[in-house]
Amino acid sequence: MQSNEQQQEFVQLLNQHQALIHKVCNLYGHGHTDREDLFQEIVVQLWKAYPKFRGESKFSTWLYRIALNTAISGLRKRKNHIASFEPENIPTDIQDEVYNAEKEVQLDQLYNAIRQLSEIEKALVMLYLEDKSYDEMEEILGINQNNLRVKMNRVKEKIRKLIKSE
Amino acid sequence: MELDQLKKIWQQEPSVTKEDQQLLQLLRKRSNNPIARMKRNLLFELIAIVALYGATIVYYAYAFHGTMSEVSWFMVVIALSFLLYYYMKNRLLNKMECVACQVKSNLQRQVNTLEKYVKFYLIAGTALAPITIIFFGWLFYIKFPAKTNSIFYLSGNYAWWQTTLAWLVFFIVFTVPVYYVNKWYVKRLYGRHIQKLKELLNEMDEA
Repeated sequence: MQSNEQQQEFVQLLNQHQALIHKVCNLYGHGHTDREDLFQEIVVQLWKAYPKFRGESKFSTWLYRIALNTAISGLRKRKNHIASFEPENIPTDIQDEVYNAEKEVQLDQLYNAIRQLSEIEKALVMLYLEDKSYDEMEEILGINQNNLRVKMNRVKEKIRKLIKSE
Repeated sequence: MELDQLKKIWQQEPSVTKEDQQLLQLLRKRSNNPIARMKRNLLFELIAIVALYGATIVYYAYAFHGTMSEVSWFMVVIALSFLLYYYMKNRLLNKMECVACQVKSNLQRQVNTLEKYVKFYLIAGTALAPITIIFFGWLFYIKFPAKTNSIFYLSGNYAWWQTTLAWLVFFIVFTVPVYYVNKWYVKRLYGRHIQKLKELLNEMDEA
């Protein structure tokens, strides 16, 4: 059982990286309930693993590993529909002018394209979109860099085609 | 639309954020991943076995004026074996995942351990059939000696090889279906999961 102090510290760290977990859930979850369940599962796994986090890697790298491991190998029941990004889920107070309707449409297209990829390809695209270096990608996924580069070129091409076909 | 442009939009995406209180509540929830569920199922299995075997052991120890107490002892041995089985399965489940490891090594670990787990399940489940047959054959032999002039018991009526052959056929007839039923059952429980994990690993390995 971790102390209250540890809980607060963990929640603070979680707050700093919450958006990242939501993105994993948006990519791997199928519908709102599934995404909520996945969010909960990732947080539970992070909390369970937190006492062993020694800071040998960056917190975000550690978090990515846990979030992706939970999303990929958790193998939740798949529903046979391709859920679309639901901008209406964004609270109105944060739907500011900067984030306009056109961007929402583009983001919707991007999400729809990514959802058609395999679990591993989704992880690759996400790390690419998050601007992670190949070193970090290797540290998170465990795929060697040569292989990563080949896969990345292929998956980027796939995404371009999928977006065009939207 | 260029990917670099999409990257910027992605990075600026606003997100629904949870309040601290909601996050703190989540910390108290239990895991629902497949391994956590397998651990809980194993615990329920242990509780059910202890209750069922405990009742049967007590019943046979005192019923029929204690004349069937051998059944109790047999059940004690099986229950103790089950405790060992529980311990080993639980150990495998604890080794099964490393969520903080690299995705590939975690998948590899899950596949290896899950295959061991299934193999163990299959062997233990199948071994129970011949063990039960031997015990009840022995019980019948000591309880009803007058009827033991059958081919299953060594006596002057049949040659040793005939008795051995009869037991062998009997074992095969009972054990083979148990093996296949178990195999079908574990495949149904874990087959697709293992297959999916292997596909993910293959995808990670292929260039």
